This record gives sequence, structure tokens and C-alpha cells, in this order.
Amino acid sequence: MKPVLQVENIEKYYGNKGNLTKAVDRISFQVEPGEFIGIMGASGSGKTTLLNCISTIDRVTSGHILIDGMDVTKLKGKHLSKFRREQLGFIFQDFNLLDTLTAYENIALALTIMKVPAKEINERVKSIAERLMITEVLEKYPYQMSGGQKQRVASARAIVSNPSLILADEPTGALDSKSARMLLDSLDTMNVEMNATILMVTHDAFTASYCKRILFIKDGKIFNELIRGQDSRKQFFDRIIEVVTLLGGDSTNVF
Amino acid sequence: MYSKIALSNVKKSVRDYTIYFLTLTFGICLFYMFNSIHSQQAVLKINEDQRGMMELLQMMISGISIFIAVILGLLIVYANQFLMKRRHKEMGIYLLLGMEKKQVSKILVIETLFIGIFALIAGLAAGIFLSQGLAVLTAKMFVVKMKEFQFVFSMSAFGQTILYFAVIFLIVMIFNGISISKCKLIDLLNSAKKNQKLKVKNLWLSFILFVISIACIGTAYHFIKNNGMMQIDTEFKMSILLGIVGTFLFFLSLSGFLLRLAKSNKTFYYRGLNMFILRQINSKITTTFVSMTMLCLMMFLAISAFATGMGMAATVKGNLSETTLFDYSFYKYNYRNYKAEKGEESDSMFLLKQLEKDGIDISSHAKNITPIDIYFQPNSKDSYMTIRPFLSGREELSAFPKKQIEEAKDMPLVYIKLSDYNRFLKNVGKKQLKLAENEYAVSCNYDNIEEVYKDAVKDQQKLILDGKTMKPYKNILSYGYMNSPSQMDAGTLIVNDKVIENMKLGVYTNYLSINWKDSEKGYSEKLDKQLKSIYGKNSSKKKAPYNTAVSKRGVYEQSAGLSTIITYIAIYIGTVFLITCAAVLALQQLSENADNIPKYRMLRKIGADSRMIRGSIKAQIIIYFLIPLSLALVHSYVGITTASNVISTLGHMNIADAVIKSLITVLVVYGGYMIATYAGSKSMLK
Repeated sequence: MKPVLQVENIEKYYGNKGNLTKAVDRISFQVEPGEFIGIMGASGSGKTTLLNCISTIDRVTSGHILIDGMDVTKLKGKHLSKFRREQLGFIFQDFNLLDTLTAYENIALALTIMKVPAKEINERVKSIAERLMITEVLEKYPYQMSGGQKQRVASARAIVSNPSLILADEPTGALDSKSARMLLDSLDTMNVEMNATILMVTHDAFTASYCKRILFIKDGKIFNELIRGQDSRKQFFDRIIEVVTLLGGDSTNVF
Repeated sequence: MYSKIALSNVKKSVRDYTIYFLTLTFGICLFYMFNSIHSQQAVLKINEDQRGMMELLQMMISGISIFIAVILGLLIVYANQFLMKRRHKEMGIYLLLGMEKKQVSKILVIETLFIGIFALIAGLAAGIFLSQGLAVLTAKMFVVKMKEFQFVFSMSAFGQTILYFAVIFLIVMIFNGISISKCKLIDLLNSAKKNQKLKVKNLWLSFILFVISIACIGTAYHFIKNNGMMQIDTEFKMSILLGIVGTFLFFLSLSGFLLRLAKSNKTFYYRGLNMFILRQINSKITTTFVSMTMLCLMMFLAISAFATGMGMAATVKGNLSETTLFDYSFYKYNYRNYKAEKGEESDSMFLLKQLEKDGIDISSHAKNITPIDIYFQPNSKDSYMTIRPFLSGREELSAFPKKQIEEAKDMPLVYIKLSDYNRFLKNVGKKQLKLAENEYAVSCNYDNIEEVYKDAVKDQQKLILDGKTMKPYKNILSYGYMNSPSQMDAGTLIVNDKVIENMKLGVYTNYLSINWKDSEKGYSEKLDKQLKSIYGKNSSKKKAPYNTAVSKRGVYEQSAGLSTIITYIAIYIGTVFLITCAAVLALQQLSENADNIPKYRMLRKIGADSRMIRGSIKAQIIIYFLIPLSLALVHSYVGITTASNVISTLGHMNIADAVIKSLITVLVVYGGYMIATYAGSKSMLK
């Protein structure tokens, strides 16, 4: 099967000649359809820069990123926006829902900017809402919802347009543990039942344990890779903690 | 150190301040310009009467200036609060760093001072420069020549401007000081994150409110149409009250109502960013409906003042050549019953004799003299002696409100003898009028009633005069048979001399009109002086044998002066109101869009392209600007059409011209602010 995402040798430099920072330093990897991949790393490791490059929000210094066979590093202007709305779905740490729109309208927004006919919008929004168990909040405004509900609405917005790839940036970052668990269950549903390909950036080991594969990044380079395989989530979690410890994320081995 | 911070802050927020700064500068500029009119006398060749006109203009302008200063003051206070809100976080950081509130407010005070001083200097400079041009305009409008060019500078206007705005800025500084001392640090730091709590409104509630608002406004329109702005009675007051309440309810319910309307059309609502745009506007209006109402009413005043002012100015100036066929006219109001013996006092020629007895020589300078006596039957029970036969059934043809038409029906008809009228026609070089024995002719040139008489003549309206049935002459005559500032002959019947003599009519008015010999065209001025010295206040107090003297020159000068006064006042009030409204709207939109930047970033992330985002900003700005304007335009339409009836009592009014002028002004000013707002918002996104 053709990979959904191919990252080929990308680099992203910041600064000028005298003071160069390599935020992403020659990273390559592939994501197959239906994968749920996590990217872990400490603050400043370059994981958010990597995500921004993949999501076409930022531009790479060199290298190629192919999504569904299309080289996104060469897209510009209108085509870039078109590509983003058709091929990508976003989930942000701070939800980024529009406070003037109801939950229903926030989800529908992803479709209206694709100019999907109004009739179809209703069906698609309703069916997604049912699967993510947010039907009862559809007519509410963001300020009337809990954090977990908001993030599930944001997830619904990300998947409703049937994107090739869903990009999630610390989706549990602003949630309490119960809401985080419910959200991760929802992501799992999206991945397993709706066959969505999800790429999630996180620094939380528990959140990462929901993934099928995890890439660890340190100082802009891939440091390690873990594949869940047949492990239970608890076993996978323990293995993640080991790597995190090794990475120095939790400060045991930094000396 | 504080002034350094303040200055760099001003520099940094130049973009936020531009529109505010320009508006302020323009306001100050206008303020100076109009207050400096008095000193233009130095460069204009004007006479005593015109000087009086200038004094009047100056007096009115300084009265209005207080009002204008209050309006501009409100704009400054409002804009300042607005700009402060955008910088709460910055102030929070100052406080966090350990500055005292006193010191923070010191920074703000210095900032306000900087902006104020800059605007004052720029505004005064522009004002002084532009007032030179205004002097030329004044000369043109007063129809006088300018003396050699001289730089006009009005110290009193200069001082007045500085004083007024110093007071305003002082108030603003106090406001800022108070607002910062009341703030809590946590609120300041978090103010950017705070979401506006949205009021979820009931569909039916907003629908019902909307219907009520429309009903209120409709009733207000009905009342004012009925009242005709002729008197300040309950109807008039109710109309204003209902208008304000209706406007308020309109904006309170409008957005909810419109949103529901748009939502019912799913294909429209769920297309592109339409949903987002509508929701944004809805949330904006539900939080700003109070200021929306104020802006709408202010714009209504601005447009009405501008259009009716322009219309009035044109009316006052219009058609003078038709109302001043003579060089000089005397009026004497008699209102006397019929007297059997021909009392000399009722005769216009008697007026001439008395004038000459008092040592005023008229005959020897005159080319011709035209006496006209107007007759009437006071308190007559006979309906043929009143206007009733003409008005009955033709009420709709007059622009007057119904109530007044009813009252007018019992007014007595007035008559001129055919011989008098023909003498008048001969003296002004017109063709003689011939009437059959049973004919009467109608003379009328008063706009509001002319159609009534035209229709009556067409209908062959019968009258029974002196026991005989009379028919109208084929045409209506519209010459002004005496000098007057406007066309105000509201209907005079011309009948054969015998009819008037037989009917035993009383004398209503005497007119004595004179044309000077060609060699003595300037004699009017001398006569004015002579009359003043003999009958004026400071003279031997001889009783004048006439009530009013109207010279052609006087009419022209007065009309030009009056027209200038009205035009200037209309421009002054209209422009200041308009720019104030537009500036408030622009500031609201700019700060709103600055707050919305994260929203647009999010939209871009989920794939809305720049064109869509720009389009949504444009749509929001246009709709937000147009909503208060549209209602203001409807209000103005009703206001202006009603007011034009009042104005047309002064003479024929060409309202269309004035309306087009004011519409263009509104569009240019408003459009300019709209474009500036859009440009500002667009640059924020980069």
C-alpha cells in the first residue's frame, strides 16, 4: 500500500549564519494508511516544528514531504489552502473553536469552506457527532461546554472532511485526566472504526500509549522508534517510560 | 523616562491611532475654520447689513460650537477607552514589573497629551491654511468682492479651539486615571483571553421585538407626517420618542432576526464563510446595540441637517429675479373694513404722499410707480369670500398637512382691481390682461398651493361674486406684484374694478412699488439711508407711514447672507457628526478585527484561503457600516420630505439637488472610512 505520509530528509533551520539553530535535522519516516503514530520529545526537541512543516503551516529549509503522493513543499498560495482543507485535519491543544459558532456550526465550517452542499453537511455532521458521542452538545456554544467536549468537537471538525491525515498537536494538553481519556478513546474510535490516519505530537507518556507506533525526537533528530505490536497498553506505556527516561525527558540520565 | 515610554508607545500604536488621529485633526480643523469666519470680514468688501449677517453667523457658529465640542469630546473619550482596552495586557505587565498605578496612569496621561498636542497642532495648522480658502468661498456666497489678499488669522478662534480641546483632553486624562486605578492585575493580564459571553436569544423574542420596533418606527413616521413639523405638540413629541425607542429595539432585535432569517436558507447559510460572517456580526451587534442606536440617530441628524440645510440655502437664494420685479417696494398692512367714503388712507398713493410730506423725494427719481391695493371681506359668512371653494376636494394637491388645510379654508380671499393689475403689468413690461365681465383671474406663485389653483382653473371653478356667477380666466398668473424675498403669493383674484366697488370690500394691504430712472439705479441705497434717518430708532421718532420696505438689493443681499449662514451651519454640523460616527464605527471594527486575529489564523489552518478570509473581513466591515446607515437613511428620507414642506413655505425648493449633494458627501466620507478600516484590518493579518 502507498504510504499516506512520506517525510524525506527534511531540515529546518532558524536564525542566520552566526547563530544557526537546527530545529529539524534530517528527519525521514513514513506513515501507512490507518496508522496512529505518535511523536514524542521534550520541549525544544523540534517536534512542533516538524508538525508545522508537515501541516504546511511552516516551510522546510530542505527535503520533501509527500502526502498522498503530493509534494507539499512545492505547493503555494491557493493550492496550499485547497490541499489543507481537503487532505488535512487539525486538532489543537487549545481547541481553537470559534466562540461565536455552535458546536454543530464549528464542525460544519470544515465542510462549508470546501463548498460541500448544505444537505450533505447535515448528514455528515450528525453521523460524526454520534460516533464521538457529542450529539447532545451540538446546539451549544463553546463557552457552554467542558474542555473534553470542546476537544471532541474539534476532533469531529478534523475528521468530518475525510482527510488523508489528521494532525493532532498535544490534544490532551489542556484537559484533565478523565477528559483526556475520553478524548483518546474518541481518537481510537476514529482510527480503528473510521480508519483515520492520525499523527499526534505529545510529551505525555500516557497519551502516547494509545498510539501504534511512536517516534522519539531529540535535538531535531529521530532518537528512537517504538512499535506497540501485540503489547497491552500498560506494557507499551512501561516501554515508553523507559525510553523517556533514557531520553532525559524526566531527568534521570542527563549527566 | 515616562515620556520616553509614552512616546515610543504612541509610535508603536500608530496604526491603531491613525483613523482616530485623522478624525480628531479634521474635527479640530473644522472647529477652527468655522469659528474664524468672523475675522474674514477683514478681507471682504461688505456693507453694514452684510456685516450684521456676519455677526449673526458668528453668533450661531459659536453657539453650535459648544454642542460640536461636546460631540467631539464624546468621540475622544470613547475612542480613548477603546484604545486603552486593547492595551490592558501592556499595562498589566507594567504593574507586574512593580510600577505603581499612579506611574502607569502617568504614562497614559502623557500619551494622551502627546496625541492631543499633535492633533491640535496639525488641526490648527490645517484649519488656518484652509480658512484662507473658506474666505474665498464666503466672498462667493455673499456675492461680494475680496479686498487684496491678506492672510486671515483669528486669534479668538485660535484661543477658543485650544481652550475647548484642552478641557476635553483634561477630562480624558481624568477618565484614564480612574479606569486604571479601578483595574485588577489579573483582569488586565487576562483581558485578551476573555471571551465575550454571548446572550443566547430566543427566536420568538427577537422576532416579536423586531415587529414591535418596526411598528414603533412606522407610527413615529405617521405622526411626524401628520404633524408636518409645523408645531411642537404631543404628536411631534410622541414621534421623536417612538422613533428613538423603535430604533433602539430595532438594533436590539435585528441581528437575531436576520440570523434566523439567514439560517432558514440553508444553502446560503452553509456556504463558504457565510456562517462565520453572520455569527460574527450577530455577536458584535448584540454587544453594541446601544452605540449602534446612538450612531444611527446621529447619522440621521447629520444627513437631515445637511440635506435640509442645503435645500434651504438653495431655496432662499432661488428665483429672486421673479420676486423682485421692482427696485423698491413699500408694504402697508391695513386690515380695514369697508368705508363708504373713499378714505384716503386706504389708498396706496396716499402712502406716497405721506412719504413725500416727510421730505422723502421719490417721484422725481422714479421711472414709474406701481400702487396696488389688496381687498378682502373680513369675517365674512359667505363661503365665496373664503378660499374654501378652491380648497375643498383638492386637499391632496397641497403639500400642507391636513390639519392646516382645514384651518386655511376659512381664510378670506383677497382681490386686486383689474386696473391696478394692468398698470403693474405695463410698468414691468408685460402683456395686458383682459377679463370678460363674468371672469376672474388667479394670481399665485406659492409653491405649496399653486397646484390647487391650477386644478381649480382647469375645472372652471365657479364663484358667486357680487351676485354674479364668475368663471376663471384660462391661465394662472404668477408674477410677483411687489418685491418679496420669496414667492409667497398664495392666491389673489383679479376682477373687474366694478365688482370690487359693488362688493364693498375692506382693504387688506397696500403695496407701493417703484422702479428708478435708468440714470439713478443706485438710488435704493440712498433711500435706505434717508428712511433710516427719518423713521429709524435714533431719529425724531416720526411714525413711519409704511410697515415694511423691501429693496431689490436688500433682498439679494439678505438671501445671499442667509443662504451662507444656513449652508455653513449645515456643513459644520453635518460633517462633524458624520466623521464622528464613521470614526467610531471604524474604531470598533478595527479593534474587533485585532481581537479576531487568532480566529482568522485558525481558519487559515483549517484551509480557508486568503481570498476567503479577506472576503469575510470585507463583508463584515461593509455590513457593519451599512446597518446603522441604512436605517439612518430611511429616517432621513421621512425627515427630509417632511421638513421640505416646511421649507417650501419659504419658496420653491429643489430638494432633489440637495439630497444628491448630501448623499454624495455621505458616500465619500463613509466610503473613505470603510476603505481605511478594511486596509487597516487587512494589514493586521499579515
